[in-house]
Amino acid sequence: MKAVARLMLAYFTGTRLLAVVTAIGVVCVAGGTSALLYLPPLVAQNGLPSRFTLAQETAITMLPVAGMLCVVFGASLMPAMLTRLATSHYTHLLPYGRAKLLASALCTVALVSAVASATASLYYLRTPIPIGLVFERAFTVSLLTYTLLYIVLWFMGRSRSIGKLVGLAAAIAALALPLRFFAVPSMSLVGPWIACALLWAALAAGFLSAPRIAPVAARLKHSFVERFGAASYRGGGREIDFMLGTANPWPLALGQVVPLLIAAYFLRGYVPVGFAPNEAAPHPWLFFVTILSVVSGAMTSVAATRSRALWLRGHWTREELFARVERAFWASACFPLGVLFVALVAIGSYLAMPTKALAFGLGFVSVGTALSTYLGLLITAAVGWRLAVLAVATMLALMVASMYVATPATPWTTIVALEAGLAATALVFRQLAARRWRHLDWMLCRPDSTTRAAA
Amino acid sequence: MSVPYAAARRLGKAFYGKTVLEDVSFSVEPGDIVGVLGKNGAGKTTLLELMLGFSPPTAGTVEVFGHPSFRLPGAEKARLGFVPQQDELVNQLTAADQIGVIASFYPRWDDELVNALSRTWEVDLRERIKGMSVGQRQKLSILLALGHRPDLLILDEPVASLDPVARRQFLEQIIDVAADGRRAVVFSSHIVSDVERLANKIWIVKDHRLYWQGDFDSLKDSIVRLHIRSARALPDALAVPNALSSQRNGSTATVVVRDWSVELHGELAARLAAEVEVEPLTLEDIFLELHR
Amino acid sequence: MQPHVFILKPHSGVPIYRQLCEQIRRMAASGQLPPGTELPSIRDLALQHAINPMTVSKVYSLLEAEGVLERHRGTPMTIAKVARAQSPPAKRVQQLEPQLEQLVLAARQLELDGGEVAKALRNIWEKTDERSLRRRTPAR
Repeated sequence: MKAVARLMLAYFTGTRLLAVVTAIGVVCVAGGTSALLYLPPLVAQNGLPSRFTLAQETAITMLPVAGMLCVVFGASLMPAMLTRLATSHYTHLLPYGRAKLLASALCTVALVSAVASATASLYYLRTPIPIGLVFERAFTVSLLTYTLLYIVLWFMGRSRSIGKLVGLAAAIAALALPLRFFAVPSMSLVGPWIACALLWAALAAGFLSAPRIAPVAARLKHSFVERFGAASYRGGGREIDFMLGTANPWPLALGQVVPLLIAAYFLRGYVPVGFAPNEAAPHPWLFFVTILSVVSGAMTSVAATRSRALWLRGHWTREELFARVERAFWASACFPLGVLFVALVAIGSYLAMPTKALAFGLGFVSVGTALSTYLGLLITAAVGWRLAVLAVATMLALMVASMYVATPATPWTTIVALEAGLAATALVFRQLAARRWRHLDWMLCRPDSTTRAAA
Repeated sequence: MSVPYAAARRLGKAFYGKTVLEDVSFSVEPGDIVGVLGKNGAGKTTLLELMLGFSPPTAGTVEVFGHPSFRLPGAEKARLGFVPQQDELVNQLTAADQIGVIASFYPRWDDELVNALSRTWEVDLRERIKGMSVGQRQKLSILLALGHRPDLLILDEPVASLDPVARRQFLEQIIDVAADGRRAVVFSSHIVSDVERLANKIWIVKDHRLYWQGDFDSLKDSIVRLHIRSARALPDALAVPNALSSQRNGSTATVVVRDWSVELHGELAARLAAEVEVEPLTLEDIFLELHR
Repeated sequence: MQPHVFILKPHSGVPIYRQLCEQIRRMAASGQLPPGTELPSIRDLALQHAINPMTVSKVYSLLEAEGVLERHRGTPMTIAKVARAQSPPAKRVQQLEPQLEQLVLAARQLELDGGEVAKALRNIWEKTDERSLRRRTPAR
């Protein structure tokens, strides 16, 4: 049992970044919960006057949800760590190793589901629906969807950008699923329970026979990669793009269409939980598109490591190298960004998104890409505490700002100020990144697994 | 007679029709330090993994602590330690976290030993595994296998990436482990000089079999190099029994033989009417002669 | 007693146990290790020379059986208090055989004859007496 606990601790706090995310999650959940429980009733729930502005109320209401998401993603080390241990000699060596590893996974998902269900029940506190029932339903569905989510995270961790996008699509679907079961209380829980049981049985079986499957899987993967090509390089691109992985932006750009369509499907008849269907609620479409805008930028985090090979092959100084890398990434980011623009406007209008939000949303999404691009370029050595906190804070700020921008009640001056502020932050990041690249020390960047595999 | 820590009888393993090992028999007693030698691809790792119970044998049996190794009960696993050839550490964790996770599985973990060794071996436990050099990672892997004080410690090329100082520290630790005579160590290595110092039993894996399985001292007595010097030219056919290789040069000859004994000495000298000088070989020489 | 008194060459081809056996026998016979001297523990000797502790254990058992060493309960192995005279010179000379063979081999390679070698041997013999031998071994 102490092994299970110790494993779970490692899942949530193993890396600096995840420890920060988990900590933020716990704080937000605790803070948001107490805010919702002990603060005077908020306008959106009762129609009574409140001392908070609508924007502040939105933030407070969303805080537990944001915290819960942080807790969920805080354990995202679990799939990778579990796989590593499962395919090693340790599963056989450690006393009751397999059983304890499997138990740790189940307990983690259960814990995360419990937190999610408790958070969800909060929103039904002052409604006539019994909390116990809400918790039970939420728990069942969460168990199922978070299991799927972690499987998706596992998949994303092992694949290149196109796989990551497909994974993102599945993740969004997994997160959106519970809403269906919430909205219709009469839906039976038998389905989810059976699905859960089957899923975990399959996982356990796969897990327990992993050492036997691993060499077979490796061989299959090798032959697959051989046939379909490991690099996205299709010839005619420049060497710099090949090295950085930006040679072919189309898979990434078009791959976004899948999660966009899936999210659009789920948002068709979306009724925000806890709110009456009125205009005061932020439209979630911008939120989703902003998430996607961040993905293409996040690829730059490998830029520093991969540029090591460029240093040896070219005549560029570090400043020139930074400029070229920046240009290469922006050139390839145009494509996914363009797709996002089209999706934002087209699907946004279909979903009856307020025009103001659409208009400002375009700029907002660009700022999102810029922020994540330069954040990625800032990673020139191992991710330390400061950078981790900065990254998480920036992303949270971006997400919260996206909700403000999407709320019809927000004045346009606020929106402009927000976007300007975020754009300025992006520029600051750029300056910081440029300065770091001037002193880039490749000894500090260890080659990541993808470059090693490509080499 | 106590139960040997590990024992195999006519053990065999084949992958997809290809034989990797056949007819392997051995036993490991408490206090043994067994050195496993063999060319790359000879089957050393397979042999160790079979002993570990990581894969089932396709022929014969292999037992650890009296149980079939493939079905070793959970409680007995705490007496077993293993260091794989390629480290299996979780890159994202710090060394301390990795140790903490592994330690939590065992009922007894010697924190003091691990901390003391990490200081002597200069492994910074606060460092992230991702940023460690290959040598550091190997040292950490060894630490992970020592912490629960296993009775049987199996190591697959544990010092391949270590500098001579680290290697000597490792050797000393192995001696420490085996010194009380109650624990056993089995390790494979290409660094023959280390094996020569440490091992009291040698297993030589050659052509899918154990060419030699036994006492190191007997091995040295058995495989020797003979320098034959005669006043006259030697006969064409020397007919030295169990010769592994020979070189002739008129009235002198050098022959490497196996299964040598003192009685043969006098016999040979008399038959060839020559001086026969016996040169003992180092383990490396023995290994090279066997693979000539 | 310090373990580094012994000189062991693990890679010389001669099995380590034999090297150690011969050295202890010789030192005991010559008086370099007077009777009652405590030998280092198995662990210490093995660690000092980075050799297998079972080898040391084997040597100790062998020599105990031969009567060169004796074991007292609670204390480490000691050199036996056997009067040197009880071991016949012929047996003691036998222990010198490996060194003598090496000497002869080297002499032959240098193309010296037995007389010159014997003369050199006598010279060195007279120069080193028992006292200077003892002085050369480190104190306990």
